[in-house]
Amino acid sequence: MPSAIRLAKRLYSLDGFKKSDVSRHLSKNNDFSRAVAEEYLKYFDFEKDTLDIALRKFLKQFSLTGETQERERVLVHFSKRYLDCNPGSFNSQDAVHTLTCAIMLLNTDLHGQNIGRKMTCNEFIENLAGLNECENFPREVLKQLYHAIKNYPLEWALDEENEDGNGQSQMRNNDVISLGGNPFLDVPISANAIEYKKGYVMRKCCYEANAKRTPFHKRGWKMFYCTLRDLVLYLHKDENGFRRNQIGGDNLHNAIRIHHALATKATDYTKKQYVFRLQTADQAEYLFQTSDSKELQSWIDTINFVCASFSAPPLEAAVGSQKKFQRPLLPCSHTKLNLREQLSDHEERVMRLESMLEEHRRCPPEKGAKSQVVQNYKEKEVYLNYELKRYRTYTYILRTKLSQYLEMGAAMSATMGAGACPPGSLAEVDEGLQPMAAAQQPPGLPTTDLEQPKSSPTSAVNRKCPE
Amino acid sequence: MGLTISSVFNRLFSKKPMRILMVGLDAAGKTTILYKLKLGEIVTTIPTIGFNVETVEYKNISFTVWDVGGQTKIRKLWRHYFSNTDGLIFVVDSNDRDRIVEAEQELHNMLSEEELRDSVLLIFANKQDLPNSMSTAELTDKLKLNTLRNRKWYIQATCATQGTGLYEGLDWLSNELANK
Repeated sequence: MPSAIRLAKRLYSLDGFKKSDVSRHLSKNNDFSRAVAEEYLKYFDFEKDTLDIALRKFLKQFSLTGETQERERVLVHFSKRYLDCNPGSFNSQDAVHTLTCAIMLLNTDLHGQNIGRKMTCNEFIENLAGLNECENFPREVLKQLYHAIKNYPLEWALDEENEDGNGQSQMRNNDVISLGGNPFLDVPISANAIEYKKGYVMRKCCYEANAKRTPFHKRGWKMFYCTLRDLVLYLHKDENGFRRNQIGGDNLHNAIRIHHALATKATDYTKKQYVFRLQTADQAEYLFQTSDSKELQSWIDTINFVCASFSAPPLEAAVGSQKKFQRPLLPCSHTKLNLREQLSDHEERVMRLESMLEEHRRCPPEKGAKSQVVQNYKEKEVYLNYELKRYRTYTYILRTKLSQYLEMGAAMSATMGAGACPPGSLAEVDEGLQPMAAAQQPPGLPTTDLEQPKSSPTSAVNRKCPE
Repeated sequence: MGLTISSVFNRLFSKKPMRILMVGLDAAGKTTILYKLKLGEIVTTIPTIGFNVETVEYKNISFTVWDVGGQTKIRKLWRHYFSNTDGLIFVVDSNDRDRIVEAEQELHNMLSEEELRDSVLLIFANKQDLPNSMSTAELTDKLKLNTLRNRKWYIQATCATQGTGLYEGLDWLSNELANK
């Protein structure tokens, strides 16, 4: 195959390729890639080399990367070339291949970090028993190889200006603050996150993650300056704290991720007025007190609107041998759907949840069922009810919002932006969303729809909390 | 006395090691998973040439995850590691309906290794973000997980490129290890 020969030549002489690029052309599971690899290996002369010397020669030129299967495939060609240069040195090409992989594995075992107990020479020999086409490899050869690798680790073939060529390192640029635990749930430092609402609130923790009751001494009310930016609710000591944080000074331990969260009026909480409840994806629960009924509604609507707009579709629940009820996984990444698609996704989910709940109620556990079965049944029922409420809220707020924009757009084109707000319920909801709309336009909507009526009550935002 | 104190100290502060072997057909997403898990580490280590192995510390457990690859002639080389293996991670491409039977055989092949009989099985149903992906329930069926006897298993939907689901899987593994 002339094209394979040509490519192999260019890859070997690094004509237009970086060292780190070569591997991907040789390691694919197809005929062309195999042909290129075979041609590529012809540039190496391994005559009279021991296997580890030959491997070092090869790896000096060739940067062996990729998943295990890919590395293995390349080493098949290396093995063939080695046996071609040294006929009779081992029983077969497969045997050379096995031994080559064993050397690679040994190198990782002896020189990798945090591997644990290192492989001994005897273990190395034992592990290869019978793998030279059902015979043993010569013990002396294995011993020599073991000590060669032990004393001289295999070395990487790196690009001159040093790797970074595999394009996998983008994630690292995404700065996150580690709170320990799952790094994907860490709070992103998002200087360019969009702010939807801010103001003073009082907060009380009720439940921590996984619905664990917050310890008594941590359940008190505390005042915060709160900013809602993208899917994170930041809680700062005061406005200065908020500014400090913007330049990276304040700590972020008081940040609540609100993807898939639900804010509702806490009508059952009677000790204070204007309180809403926030339930998050990890089943934590908080109470927030606001300054008045208008602020209360504004916070609730803004939070629910942001959640409804940006929460990504859930991943299916895990299934396990223990048959425990598992909740679906609620990813913290932003959705890829636009506002309209998001709405229809929520609507579909509401319908599905309704039929699931109906189905669930139709077959309760039999009398005398195992306690785990009853427990699962109850848990699932609580879960379905909650999810239904959440997605109904989401669809309601998105629908209201969308129709509002449409009407506003129509009114705008008729009166050239007189800022006429539709009367009645829509106006009320609209109030709640002012700061959001002022800060940003939701995705998928034309700009002209977003001209704001002049009656923006932003003054309420900075008003302090009572008490 | 000194010995007692140091052993107490060790029990409190040292990380429990857990050896994991990761298996799966090629392009299922094993490398991406290894790489993403590694993001949890503050110190990035220089990779050693050879095979892919990463250590991740999470919830006071130090997971050492080896990418064993798939069904190959060199499977026998991993014998050395089988006896001390606490858990298996099997990665399946939820979108690859053509190769699901191959994946199922691969999985059961691995599970038939005598020395792996006590290890728990975590399955990452990867690439769940793609539109036509098989559900965890469907995969349970296709991978014949319900035929497994005396084996604890757990199948977690993941989207490795975004890191979704990976640590949730490790949560399960760490619980299982704690209960052992």
